[in-house]
Amino acid sequence: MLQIRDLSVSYGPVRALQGVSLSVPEGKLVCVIGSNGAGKTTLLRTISGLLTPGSGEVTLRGQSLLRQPPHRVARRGVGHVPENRRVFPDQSVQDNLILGAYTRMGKLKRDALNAELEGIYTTFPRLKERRQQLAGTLSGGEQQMLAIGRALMLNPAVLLLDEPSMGLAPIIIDEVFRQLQALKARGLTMLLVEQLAYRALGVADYGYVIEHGRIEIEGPAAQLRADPRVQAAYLGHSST
Amino acid sequence: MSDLPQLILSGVALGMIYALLAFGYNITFLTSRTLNFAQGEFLMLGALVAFSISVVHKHNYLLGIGGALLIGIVLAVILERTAIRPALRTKSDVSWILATTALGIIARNVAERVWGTDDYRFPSPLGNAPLSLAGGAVRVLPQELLIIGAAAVIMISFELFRRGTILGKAVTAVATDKDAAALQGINVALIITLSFVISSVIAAVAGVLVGPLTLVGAGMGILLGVKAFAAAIIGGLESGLGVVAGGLILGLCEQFTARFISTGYKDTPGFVLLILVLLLKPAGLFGKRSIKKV
Amino acid sequence: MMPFRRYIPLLALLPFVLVPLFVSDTYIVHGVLAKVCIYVIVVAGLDLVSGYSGDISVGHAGLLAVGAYTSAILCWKLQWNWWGTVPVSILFTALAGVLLGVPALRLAGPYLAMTTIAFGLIVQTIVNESEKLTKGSTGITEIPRLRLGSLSLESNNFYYLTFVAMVLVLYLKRQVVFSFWGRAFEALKENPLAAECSGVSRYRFKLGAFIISAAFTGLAGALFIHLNKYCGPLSFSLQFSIDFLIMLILGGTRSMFGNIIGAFIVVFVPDFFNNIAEYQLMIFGGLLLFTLYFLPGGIIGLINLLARSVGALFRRRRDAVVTAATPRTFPGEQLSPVPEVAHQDAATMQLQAVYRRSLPAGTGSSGHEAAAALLKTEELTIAFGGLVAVNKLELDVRPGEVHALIGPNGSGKSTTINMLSGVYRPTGGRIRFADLPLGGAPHNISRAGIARTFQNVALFGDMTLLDNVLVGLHHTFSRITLLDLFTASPRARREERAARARAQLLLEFVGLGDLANERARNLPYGKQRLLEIARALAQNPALVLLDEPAAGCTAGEISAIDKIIGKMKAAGLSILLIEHHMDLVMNVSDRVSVLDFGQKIASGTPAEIQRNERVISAYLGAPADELPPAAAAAV
Repeated sequence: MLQIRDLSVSYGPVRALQGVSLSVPEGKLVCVIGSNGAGKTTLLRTISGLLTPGSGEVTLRGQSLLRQPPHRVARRGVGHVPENRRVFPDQSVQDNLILGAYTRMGKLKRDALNAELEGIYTTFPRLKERRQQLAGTLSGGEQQMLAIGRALMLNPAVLLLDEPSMGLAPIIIDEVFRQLQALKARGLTMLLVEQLAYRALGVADYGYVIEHGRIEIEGPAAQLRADPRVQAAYLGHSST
Repeated sequence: MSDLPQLILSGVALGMIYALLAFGYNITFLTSRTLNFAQGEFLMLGALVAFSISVVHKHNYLLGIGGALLIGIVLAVILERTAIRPALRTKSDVSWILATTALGIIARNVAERVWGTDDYRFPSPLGNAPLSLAGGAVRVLPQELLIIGAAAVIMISFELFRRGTILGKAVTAVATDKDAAALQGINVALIITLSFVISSVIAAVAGVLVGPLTLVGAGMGILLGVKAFAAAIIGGLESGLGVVAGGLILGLCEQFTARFISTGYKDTPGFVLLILVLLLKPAGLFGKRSIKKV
Repeated sequence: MMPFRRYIPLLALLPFVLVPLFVSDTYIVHGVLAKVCIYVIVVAGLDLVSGYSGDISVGHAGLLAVGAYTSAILCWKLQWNWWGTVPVSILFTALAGVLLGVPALRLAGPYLAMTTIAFGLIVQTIVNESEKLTKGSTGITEIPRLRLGSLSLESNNFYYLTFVAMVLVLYLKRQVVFSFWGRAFEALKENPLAAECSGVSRYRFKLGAFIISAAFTGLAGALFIHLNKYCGPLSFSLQFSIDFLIMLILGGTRSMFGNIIGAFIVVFVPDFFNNIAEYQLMIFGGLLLFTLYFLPGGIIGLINLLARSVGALFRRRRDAVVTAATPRTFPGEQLSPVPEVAHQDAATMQLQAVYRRSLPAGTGSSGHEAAAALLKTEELTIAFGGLVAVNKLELDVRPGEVHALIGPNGSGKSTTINMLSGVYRPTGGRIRFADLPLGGAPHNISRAGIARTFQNVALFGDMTLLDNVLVGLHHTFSRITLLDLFTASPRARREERAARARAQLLLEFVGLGDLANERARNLPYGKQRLLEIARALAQNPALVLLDEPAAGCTAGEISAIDKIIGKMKAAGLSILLIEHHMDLVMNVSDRVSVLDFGQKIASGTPAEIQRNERVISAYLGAPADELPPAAAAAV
C-alpha cells in the first residue's frame, strides 16, 4: 500500500534521514522504532508533505506523494496522528472530529457525518461524554484518543501514528495499544513510529529499527523482540 | 454632566469603528502572525469608493457598500500576494511591516491622484438630524446608531461563521496549529488569503460607516488605522473579544478626553494606554500569557 | 587590525566638501545637499537601531522633533547662542531615546513598531498643544542666524557645517559598529537568546543602540531648524518617520554609503523631477517593496555585488589558480575535523593558555569522589501551567567530571539546561554553583562561569567565525567605555587585539582556525557544532552545558566532538552533557543520570546505567517481567 524508497531528508545542513526504504502492506501494522533523535518523526512528516525530501520516493497505491503539499496528501487518504497529539485545544471535541472530515465535507451528507461521529464515539466512549468540552481540557490519554479519532474521520487508506505513547502514564499506554490492536483487527493499514520498542513490537506485524537516520535492522516483529541489537540501538554498545 | 449618555453613545460608535478595524488585525494575526499596516488606507479607499458611487453618482447607498466590499476583496488579494506571502517565506517581521506600510503609502497616493487631497462631506443615508431618545434627554446622530448596529451585526455574523461552518472551523484550526490543520486536508495558504479578504472587507465597510461622521478624503485613514492598532494591542491582539473591548475602551476614552480635557489631546489616550498596557501586561488586557519555548 | 584602512571610506567623502566651490546655486547647496547631510545623520542613527540591532523604529521623526524644538525654544525663549543649544538638544533627545528604547527590551515586531509610531504621534500632539512653549501649529520662526566667530554660516556656508556634522556622526558610528558594541548589536539581532547566554547584556546594548541613535538624531534636529529657519509640528509627521525607513532600506542597511545613497535619492529625486512629485509616494512605496524582496541589501548591496563580480572577473583573468578558492566556496572535507596529532598537543596547550579562569576554591583538576560538587541542584522544579516538566531534581556535577544527563523524549533534559542557564526561571528548588546560590538573567550566569551550547545550533549566521567567538569574549571588554571607542583609545585597541588573538586560538583549538573569516552560516553542520563549543569556551567557564552536541552529526564529526570533550576535561573543565548518541555518552562520561517524566530514575557509571532495568524499561517500554530473553539476561 505505502512504499518508501531510498528517502533522504536534510534540515539545512543536517542529514535527518539517509536512504530509508520501507513498505507497509495493506492491512498490516508496521512499526519503526528507535530512540529520540533517530529520525522517526521526520519520516512521518516527510510522508505527509510537511517536509520536502532531498531525494527518494514515496508512493501510495503506486501513486507518488512526493512534493505534494500536506493538504493534498491528506486528500489522497493519508491520516496522520502527529507527535504530541496536536488536537485543536480551543475547539470542542466534536469540532475536532468534524475537522478530521474536512476533505470529505463536500460529499458527506449531514446524516452520514453524524453516523461516522457515532462510530468514533462507540470506539472511544470517553469522547462522547466530553464531546462539547474544549479539547484542551482533556487529559493526555483522552487527547490521544481524540487525535486518533480525528485521523479516522478522514477515512484514511493508511494511518500514520507518531509516538502515541509520548508523555502518557503506563496504564494509559496500555489502553492506547489496546486500541491500536483493535484498529488492526478491523483491517486498517498503519505505520506506527514509537520509542517504546517492546510495546510497538507487541502489536506490529513487522518492524524496522532506525538509528541516526538509517534503517539498521528490520524483520518480523516477533523476531526483533528477541534481538539483542535492538537494546544496543537505544543504550549504546557496551563500553570498554 | 447631563451630556453623559450622549458622550457614551458617541464613544461607543467611534469605538465600534476601531473595533471593526482591530477585528481585522486580529483575524489575520491569528492565521498568519502578520497584519496589515495599511488597514487605515483600506478603510479610506472603501469610504471614497462608496462616496463616488453613492454621493457623486447618486446611486443607492447599498450599491456604495457593494463597491466598498469589492474594493476590499481586490485590495486583500493584492496585499496578500505582494506583501504578505513573500514575507511569510522570509519569516521576517521587518519585511511584512515595511511591505504593508509601503502598500499603504501607495494606496494613499493613488487616492490623492483620483480624489484629490481635499476632504468631502459624506451625508448619512439616515440624514443629519439628531434623534431624541429617552424623552429628549439624549440626542444622538442616526449614523451613530447605524454604526453601532451594523458593527454588531458584522461581528456577530463572523462569530457565527467561525463557530457554525466548516470553513470557519478551519480558520480557527489554522490559527491554532497550521501543521495539524494541514494534516486534516486544510489548505492553509487559502485560509490565510481568506482571512485577509475578511479583514480588508471589514475595513472597507468600516470606512463607509464612519464617513458621514468624519469627512472623507485621502488622509482620513492613517490615524484611524494606527489608533485601531493601538486598540487591538490594548485589548489583546490575539483575543477576538479583547480587540472589541479595546476598541470600545479607546472610543470612550477619546470622547471623554475631548470633552473634559481638550480636543487637542483627543488622539493621545490611545497611545498612553497602549504604552501602559505594553509595559504592564504585554499580552493585552484580555490576552493570555503564553509560555516562551526555546 | 588595520586602523587606517578602516577610515578610507570616510576619506572618500572629503572631496564632496568642495561642491559649493563649483556649484553656487543656493537651492542645490543649501536646499538639497545640506538637507541630505542632515538626513544622513538621522538615517545613520536609525541604522544603528534598525539595521544593526534589528528593531524597527517608526518614531525617528519624533526624536528629530525633540532635538529641533529643544534648540529652537532655547534660542527663541532664552536667547541662547545656537552653539550652546546643541549639547542640550543631543542630551534631551538621548533621554527621549531611552523612552523609545525601553519598549524594545520587551517587545518585538509589530508591537514595537506600533509603540514607536505612538511615540512619534504623542510628540507631535504635545508640540501642537503646548502653545506657550512651541507656538502650537504656527511653529517657531525666530531662529537666529548662524555664525562661527565672524564667519556667517548662512546660505551655502551652512552646507559646510552640516557636512562636518555628518562626517563626525559617520565616524562615530563606525567606531561603535566596528567594536564589541557592533558585535553585540548584531548578535542580539540574529539570536537574542544565544547572545544573552554568551554574556551579552540585552538591557545594556538594546538601550545603548537607541540612546546613541537618538543622540545623533538630536544633533540633526538642532541643524534641521536652520534649513527653513522654521520649526513647526507639520514637519515631524508619521510619514517623515516612514521616509527615514525608506532611505535606510533603499540605500542599504549597515552601510555608510548606503545611508548616504538612500538619503540622497529620497531628497533629490522629487526635487529634481517636478513632474513626478505628485507620484512621489507611489514611487517610493514601489521602490521600498521592490527593495525588500529583490534587493535585500539595498542599492549599496547591488553595487557591492556588481563590484565583486567585476573584481572576480578581473582576478580570474589574471590568475586562474586563485579562483579555485574563492572566498564563498567552502574548502569542505579537505580539512580534517580534528587537527593532526602534533598540532593537537599544541592546541591543548593553547586552551590551557587561553583558559585563565581560576577554578573555584576546593576544586582540583581530578574528579575525586570526595570533592565538593561544583554544581548542585536541590529539589529543582519547574511547571508550565499545570504540567510539571522537571520534578524535584537532585543533580550534582563534580569539578572536572563529564556528567551525562539522558532520558527519553520529553523527560525534561533540555528544560533542565534551560533552568541552569537562566533561560527558564525554576518554580521551585535551588541551584548552587561553586557553593553560591545561582540565579539571574542568562548573561549573569555566563559571567558566573556556566556556558552552554544549544540543541538546535544557535550561531550568529551572518557573522564570521571569529566574530562569533568574539561575542563569547564579550566579558573581556568590561572596562572599555564608549568614550574609549569614540577616541580609539590605546586601551580599547589593545583589548580588541588581545580578544582577536584569543578568539583565533580558540578556533584553532576546535580545528576551525583556517576558517576564521568565513560566515558561520556557510559552515557544514558538524563544524557549526564545534564553533558553538569554541564560543562557549570563550566565556571562560568552569562548567559547560552541552545540549546534544552530536545531534545530526556524521560519525567523523562525532568522533571530533568526542576528542574535544576529552581535551576540555583534560584542561580542568566540568561538563554536563545531554546526548542521544549513547556510544558517545558511554565513552566520555564519568557518570550518567537518567531522567524520565521530569524525575531522576537512575544515576551511576555508564556500565551501571546500561544494565539498570528501570532505564531499559523507560527507553524500550518493556515492563520488567515481560523483558525479552536478551534484555533479561543483561539485568
